[in-house]
Amino acid sequence: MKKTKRFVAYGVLAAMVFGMTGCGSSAPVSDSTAQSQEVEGASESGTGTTELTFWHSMDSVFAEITEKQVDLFNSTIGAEKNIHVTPVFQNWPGTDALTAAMSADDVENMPDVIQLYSDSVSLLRDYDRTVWAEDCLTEDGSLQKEDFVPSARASYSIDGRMIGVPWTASALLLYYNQTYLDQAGVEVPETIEEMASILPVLTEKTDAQYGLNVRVNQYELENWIETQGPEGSEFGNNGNGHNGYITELSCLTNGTLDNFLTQWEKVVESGAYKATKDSMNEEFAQGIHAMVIMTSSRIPTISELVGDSFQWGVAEIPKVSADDIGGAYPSGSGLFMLDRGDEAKKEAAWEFVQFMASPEAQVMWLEGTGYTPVNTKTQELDAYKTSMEEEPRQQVAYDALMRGGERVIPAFVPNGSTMDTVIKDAMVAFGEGSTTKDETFQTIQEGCEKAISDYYRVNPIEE
Amino acid sequence: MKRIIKGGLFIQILCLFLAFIMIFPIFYAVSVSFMEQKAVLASPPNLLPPKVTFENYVTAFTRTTLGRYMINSFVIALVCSISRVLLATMCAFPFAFMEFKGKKLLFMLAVSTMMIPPDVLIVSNYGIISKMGLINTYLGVCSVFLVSAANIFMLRQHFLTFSKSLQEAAYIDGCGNIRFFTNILLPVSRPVLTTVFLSSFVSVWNQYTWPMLVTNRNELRTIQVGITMLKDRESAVFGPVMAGVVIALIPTVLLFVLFQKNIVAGMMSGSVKG
Amino acid sequence: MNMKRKKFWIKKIEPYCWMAPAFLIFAVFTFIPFIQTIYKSLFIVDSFGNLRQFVGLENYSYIFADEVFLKAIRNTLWYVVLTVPISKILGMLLALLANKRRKTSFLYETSFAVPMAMASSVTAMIFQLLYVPSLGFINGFFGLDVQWLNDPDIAMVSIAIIQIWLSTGYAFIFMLSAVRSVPDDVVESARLDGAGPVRMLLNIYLPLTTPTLFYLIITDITYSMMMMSLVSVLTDGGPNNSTTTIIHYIYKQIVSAGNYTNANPAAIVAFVMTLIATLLGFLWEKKGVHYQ
Repeated sequence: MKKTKRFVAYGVLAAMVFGMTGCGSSAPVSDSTAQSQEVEGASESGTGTTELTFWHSMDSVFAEITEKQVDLFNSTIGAEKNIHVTPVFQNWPGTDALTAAMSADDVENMPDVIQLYSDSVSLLRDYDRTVWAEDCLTEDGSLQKEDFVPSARASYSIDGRMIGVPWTASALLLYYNQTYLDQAGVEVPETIEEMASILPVLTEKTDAQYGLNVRVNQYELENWIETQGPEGSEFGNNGNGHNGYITELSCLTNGTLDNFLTQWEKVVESGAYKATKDSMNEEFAQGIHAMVIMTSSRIPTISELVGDSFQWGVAEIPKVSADDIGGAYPSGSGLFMLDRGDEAKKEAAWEFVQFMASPEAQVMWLEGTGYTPVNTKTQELDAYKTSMEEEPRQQVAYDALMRGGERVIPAFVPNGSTMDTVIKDAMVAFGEGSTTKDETFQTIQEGCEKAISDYYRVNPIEE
Repeated sequence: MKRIIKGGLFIQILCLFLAFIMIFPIFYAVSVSFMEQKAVLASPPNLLPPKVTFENYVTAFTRTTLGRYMINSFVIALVCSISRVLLATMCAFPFAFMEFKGKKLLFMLAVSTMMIPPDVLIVSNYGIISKMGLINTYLGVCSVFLVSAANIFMLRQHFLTFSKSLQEAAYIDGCGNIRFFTNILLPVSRPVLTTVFLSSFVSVWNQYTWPMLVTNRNELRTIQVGITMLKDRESAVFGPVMAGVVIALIPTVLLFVLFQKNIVAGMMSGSVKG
Repeated sequence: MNMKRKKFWIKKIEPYCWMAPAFLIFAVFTFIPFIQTIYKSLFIVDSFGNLRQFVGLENYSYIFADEVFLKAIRNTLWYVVLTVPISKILGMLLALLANKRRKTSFLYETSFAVPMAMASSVTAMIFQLLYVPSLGFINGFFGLDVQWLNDPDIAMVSIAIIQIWLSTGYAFIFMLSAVRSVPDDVVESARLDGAGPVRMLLNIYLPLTTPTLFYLIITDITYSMMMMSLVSVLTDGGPNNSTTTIIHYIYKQIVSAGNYTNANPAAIVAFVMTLIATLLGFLWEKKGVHYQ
């Protein structure tokens, strides 16, 4: 099975390489290559190969697949165009070494391409070495803007211009124990209210200790905020920070946070909800929870843990109200390019980034990770189709991401980790019944406002 | 006589029981590293793997170049420990045996380096190393670990327990400071130097943030970085990372077992008895 | 005369020569950057470390108005109080138990000391598994329902237990050699005087091991004040900031928020607090520590 998958991938790739060389020759192959040789001469092998450094913070099986993608690039397009990419693991979320190199302006030890999560885009959006993906896109290039899952593309766009290229994506999903639902005679809930109403039934009629387990952090909350309304809603102002900067949280004033808390109170009051997070994977797999809410990237892990012990499925997260747009925003990371003063490297970096977003590279995520390919053309590959047949649950994640459209995207939140802590603590207290809805709202409001003012005290917006 | 034997036996059993409690977390880590993912968190909990699997170790070695990382860590820890022992002994020597201006102040200054949060220094240290062109070198990694105030402190404590007569006798014999240092002080301090060496080795071996920051080539990464690469942040799988932990523990524990006798022979005792 | 003068000078500068290498490294990697930090703590510093505006002590009053920072100070002190004495007492008791060499000495001595070989981040991962409330080993095996790391009231204690485990091993190995180097004749004569175990401990072992104990307590105070890795692996400061320590606060400000403006003065506060604690220790050295 795997062999055919790979075979197909290589086949398509070979075709693509030929296609690309066609485009490549039309692009100005300047003498910058020669120039770069002089500059970099000492450190490079001297065979005319452009060496690229790629920093990522992928661990475990995700790292394994990353290596495979890079190897495939090096042995195909790279071999063709004399580009060699070296992947380097960096501490999650990948910013330690980058900020160190940035503040020392240590260009020599910067990467050409770096993987970053949307929280960290604020580091690069005003940095003068950032190479905007938008400026590299060409009409005849192998990668076109329309190829992307719209929300994934919008996630790394500012004022409609792409700063980076989406690379990994996953969606927040509801995992449910079908066997329990059947025993209780209930359906997969579509709204939070429905969900709240079946929770007590589930604990009563099945062996489940809890009907639902989810710890509501910023990630979960933001999903429930942004998927509200028929067209989605803002979490932070200025288009979630994608047009200008977030200076206040829209959800505090546009009623979405209040809506969510009102509905969520029903879940809390059901008495069958666990608000803290321990080992969700294992607890779900052992039948402690009838439902859990977590990211789609855990589908393979759950599949492995559950085995044949019960039937389970995934669905989009229950909506706040029935006429909401629903779905989920793409959580994940993008690839960003830095200008290290070498045109050849810049061009090579774009080749590499295009490849990493190509269907051939993206389809590899389906081999053992739960990431959703960000390139819609991936669906045309046979490897994709076979994977989806093997694990149809992956399709749910894809559908959830497609539903949201360009407005349901991760917000570029200033001081995100502080805000996350504030939201987590407030929601756990609310979930355990120790605070009221209004108190929760107030805690979130005060904490987030403090986090934002903390950030702009230090990094004032310059006109 | 009989009572003494009985008492000894009782204490031995008690000690062995306490010993088991002390090593339990390590024992558990070893056990988990041989477990299938399903067995790690289960109800009822598994102390021993229900089915032994070597899969986690295979994963640990195939996913990362652990062998290479171990060599790197070994070289770095070795260099730093030798330097720490040497510099700390040299520095502690005047603190214990000489009178000079500013002795107290200098000692406090040395000790105060332990009180400075390393996180605020790390970026400027990166800047220094980067300016020296030592990013991606062993020396760059070692640089900030070459001396440790804790070691200076410990050796000073040790030297202070020497009877002053020893030093005086040596001087009467016509020993200069250097000869006293190399021919008398160092040999009799062997156990304590071994301890400094071992604790330095362990602490450098276990470093993570700095080695990660100043290297960005896979060939230069250390074992603790390797462990992080095995950690599964996204889906929380524990087996491979525990295998990595156990592998990383083997050298340090081995060193401990080998040198343990030397250490407890009488650090701080110096020549008191002799 | 000239000769003598020369000798006099050599004698004068000799101590400094012995210490020069160590202090040179301290100066480059610790003193100079730290002095810069003190200076920078008076400025607004942006995410890239650029000084933007001189604000004097305003940054200090700003962090002291931050509830989280105040909590971090309290948590740190609580943590020191929890870990330092207990690990020393346990280390001392284990050392006394193991004092006499017996057949199985080797086994238990090594086991007692082995936590010293552990990295705290790795240890944190192991305890993370052990502590899982629903399916973890400790609750499962003993039939408990303790929310080790979820309950704000006990999360810090759970973390302190790990630290105690780690530093008991360290304390043990030092105390063992200290206890063993107490001269036999002193012990013997006390025994002949009819001293019981408690009196032996208080009158013989404790005073005679003070140099070691002093070293252990001072280093452990600074170490515990600087603790971070356990927290960052296990709780990230939560729940409800109940486990945020000063260093974790600094770390979060730098790494997650890029906020040196808050981190720099916090580092100075941490330094001053640790210094005060250590100076108290050194006062004790004058009175209570007996060198031979």
